[in-house]
Amino acid sequence: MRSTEETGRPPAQGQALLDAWWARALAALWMLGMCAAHYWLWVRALIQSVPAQR
Amino acid sequence: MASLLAIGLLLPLAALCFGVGARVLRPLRLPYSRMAEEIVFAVPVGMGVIAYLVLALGLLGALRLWPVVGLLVALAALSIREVGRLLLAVGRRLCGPRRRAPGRVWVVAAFLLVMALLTLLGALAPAGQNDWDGLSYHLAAPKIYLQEGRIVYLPWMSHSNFPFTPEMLYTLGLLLEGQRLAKLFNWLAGVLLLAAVAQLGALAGPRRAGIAAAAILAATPIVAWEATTAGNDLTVTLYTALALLAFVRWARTDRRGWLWACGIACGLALGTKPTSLVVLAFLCAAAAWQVGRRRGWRPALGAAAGLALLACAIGAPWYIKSAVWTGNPVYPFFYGVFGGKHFSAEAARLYRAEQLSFGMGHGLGAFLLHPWNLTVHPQQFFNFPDKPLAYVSIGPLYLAFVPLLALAGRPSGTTRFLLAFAAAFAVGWFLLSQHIRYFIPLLPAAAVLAGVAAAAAARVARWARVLVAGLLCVAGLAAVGIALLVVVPGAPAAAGIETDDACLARTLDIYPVVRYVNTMLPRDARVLTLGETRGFYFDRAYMWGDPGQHEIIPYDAYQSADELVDDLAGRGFTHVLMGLGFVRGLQDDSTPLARLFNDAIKTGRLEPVPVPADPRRGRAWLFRLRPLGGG
Repeated sequence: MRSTEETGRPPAQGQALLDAWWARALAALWMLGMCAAHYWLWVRALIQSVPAQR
Repeated sequence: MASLLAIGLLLPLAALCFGVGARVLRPLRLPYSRMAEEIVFAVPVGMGVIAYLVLALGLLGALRLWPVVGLLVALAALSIREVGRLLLAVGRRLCGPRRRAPGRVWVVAAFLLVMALLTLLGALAPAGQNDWDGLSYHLAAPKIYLQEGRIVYLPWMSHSNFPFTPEMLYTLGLLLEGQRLAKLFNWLAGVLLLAAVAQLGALAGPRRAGIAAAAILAATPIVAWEATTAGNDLTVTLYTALALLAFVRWARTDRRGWLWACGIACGLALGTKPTSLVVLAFLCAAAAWQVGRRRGWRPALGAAAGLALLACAIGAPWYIKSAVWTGNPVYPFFYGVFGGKHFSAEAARLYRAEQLSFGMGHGLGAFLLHPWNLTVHPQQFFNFPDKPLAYVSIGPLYLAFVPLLALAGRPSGTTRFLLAFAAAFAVGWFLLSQHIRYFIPLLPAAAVLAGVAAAAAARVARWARVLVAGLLCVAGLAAVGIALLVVVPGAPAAAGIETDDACLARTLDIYPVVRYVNTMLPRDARVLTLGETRGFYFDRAYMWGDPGQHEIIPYDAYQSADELVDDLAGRGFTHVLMGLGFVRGLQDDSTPLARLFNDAIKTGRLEPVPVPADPRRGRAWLFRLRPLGGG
């Protein structure tokens, strides 16, 4: 945990796999996919529960 | 107006908390990077100190206005220098030149302000349908303490033996103003939590990672909901985040004071929730590793032991109180080990079964899948799996961003530390009880990890920056919408254009019965509640009566409905209130308890009291006891 403070540089993130095109594509698909899955499945459960609650 | 009075009282009390906290922390000589960092540490520590002093007054039987005001005045006199320093710094900041910041920082600041104001509105509304635990014990127990003028043992409310640090502040709030000020202490903990997370994020990655982390946490629906209630989850999360922040500062600077600050935060977390023992165990192991890899095992053990001793000493009063009153320091948990008064092995088994009922499994597969399950099936980790609630959600951003760390190169030491903490806490949570609220103390670390990953992803290309910003905007807008759903029903009361009574009659299902009890029953009436624990609004004596909550009423010993009613009357009860869950249980006449109560109703020994109420909202039923030879 010492190195960042000593060097004053931000951590060396974003310099590894994310430089490869396929990793960027994978990251974009993952982010979009997870958000879409969350809103799709969760909102569907919310909507389906409305008649039951009435 | 009550809301303005509550806000007007919170501001000087927050300044007093800063003064007290800064004075307590002064001997540690913490090298704060800026005033904001001192505020983030000093205010919560001051809140803890004041809470413990309220506990002391309560145990001494001096829980009345003037002793408490005297205590606050004495504390103000002792910390006047620190309070003055804070006011000067705030004044300088307000009058000084405006700092230049990129547009995205202003967008996030505007979002944080909107969430803070929305949740403030929610906190200023009377505790209602969305605050079951607040009405059951976080606010209800302090109300009873104030009625008694002291902290008393409540054998029928096992929850009152939990560590109660935030509840002492609620006691103070109820005494000085009412439930608005009480709930504002919880809201303040939420605001401080966001500030702590922003600072932790800036240590783990670039500064924008801290800003992103605060935004991600604020966009978490369950966190926003918590800020509108009178719970304890935000307080324990705040102390957990402070412990992590202090630990990181210690690991970076090797200044012992930060390790002790970490111990103080851990101790206050233990004084809020016993599950914080997982946090303390992890930090002790991390401290030992941090020292041991450079200086050997002896100093390593010393650092871990010092941290553990300080934290346990600060948390101890609550566990000692519980041990003295019940025989079990963590009553009613671990009944098989410690035992405990007014509880039984069967009640403990039922309680444990309920705790294990949350979640989607207990095997390795369920553990590995829990980030996915928590994100898309959050209702499975809450009390009503068949009835999803919009605010019972951690949102999509943690799952969307945190795994990107695997693609983002070698993580910083702080990031690795937070990953290890998140893994350790998740294991503890998974084994103890998979309730989504108990997961909240992990979210500051997860928000920082998500912020670091989002910052790394945003750096690779312009389209990636747009994508990350777009997802943050979607989640932020969804969080604002959900916060509106939570806040709008109580907003007229918070704004002072509707009375609390009218608001509660409109929004709280049991309120018509509560109002009837408070206005129509004699002052010496005593109500036994079954299937309903939300007693905060009762102005008559009451007691939880469900079997499984305590062993005071010997339901198994009653041979007939007559015996049941006569014994309850002999114990001073005049009425029985049945909640929906209990009434549903009566429909199945096969259990001895249901037969007893059904017989008592059929024979007229329990006489229904016709309570005028909206049938769509009527969720509780009142009965009058008619003992033989009386009533």
